Amino acid sequence: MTRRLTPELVKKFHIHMCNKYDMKIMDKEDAWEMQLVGKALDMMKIQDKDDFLNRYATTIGNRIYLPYEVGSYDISLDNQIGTLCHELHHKRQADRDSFFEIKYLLDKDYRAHKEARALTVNLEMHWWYCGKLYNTDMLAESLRSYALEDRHIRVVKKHLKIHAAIVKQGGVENTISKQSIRWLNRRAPNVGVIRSR
Amino acid sequence: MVRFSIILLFLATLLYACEECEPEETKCEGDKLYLCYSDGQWEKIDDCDDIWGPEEDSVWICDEDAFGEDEGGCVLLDGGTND
Repeated sequence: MTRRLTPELVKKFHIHMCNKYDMKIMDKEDAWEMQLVGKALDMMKIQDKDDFLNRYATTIGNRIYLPYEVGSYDISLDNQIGTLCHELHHKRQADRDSFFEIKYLLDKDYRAHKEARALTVNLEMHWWYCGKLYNTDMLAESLRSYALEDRHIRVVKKHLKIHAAIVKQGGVENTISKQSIRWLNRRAPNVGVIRSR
Repeated sequence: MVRFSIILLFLATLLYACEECEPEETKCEGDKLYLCYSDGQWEKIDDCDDIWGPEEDSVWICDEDAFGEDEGGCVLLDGGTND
């Protein structure tokens, strides 16, 4: 058996996790509401509209808007899993805070913290698949395209560095990662490097 | 002008009072790890006792000096068990 993700497994994973969290996957480029949000973010100087539509996934309410087709090779399959987990983490954050969306848009400190937390899910899922860590400084720097400033990036770097130390020792802390790893290990026990659960 | 200065002073005091910590500081409260965020507020970043792995019986604790003096983190107890 090969130790690789397959498009079928990735599609089934999306269906399972979306059912679990009552979420729907939407095509971002075709969604008129995303065109509007893109324009608004551009006007607020938070993110460039084209970048928003073509490079980033977005979660609003019970919809996850993706700029690619699930299971395609447009982006790597493990990235697709990481992206879904990241977005589902935002869904959990929104469920715990009624003002999540508005605070996320208006408060850069809040946005930095919530994105950093969600990026720790990417760290965990990438480790599950590859047994390697993302470069945490580069991950933190990627948040500059969320209109964050040096002071935010510095703290996010520290946040990710602290969490990376957990991941490097084989620890998994986020609920989404635990649920995902449990499901993936059951369906494809030979794929991930974390197999103890 | 005096009144304006007093208001400014009052606002500055309020801001200072809200600034609870120095960004990038860490602290432990029980098994929870907090990081001082860019707004000077403590944010919980990890529940050390919720961490899985690497073994079934692994135990993680919050250590305020995990990465050096005052550099907190969740650390894995060597040979720790849950019993």
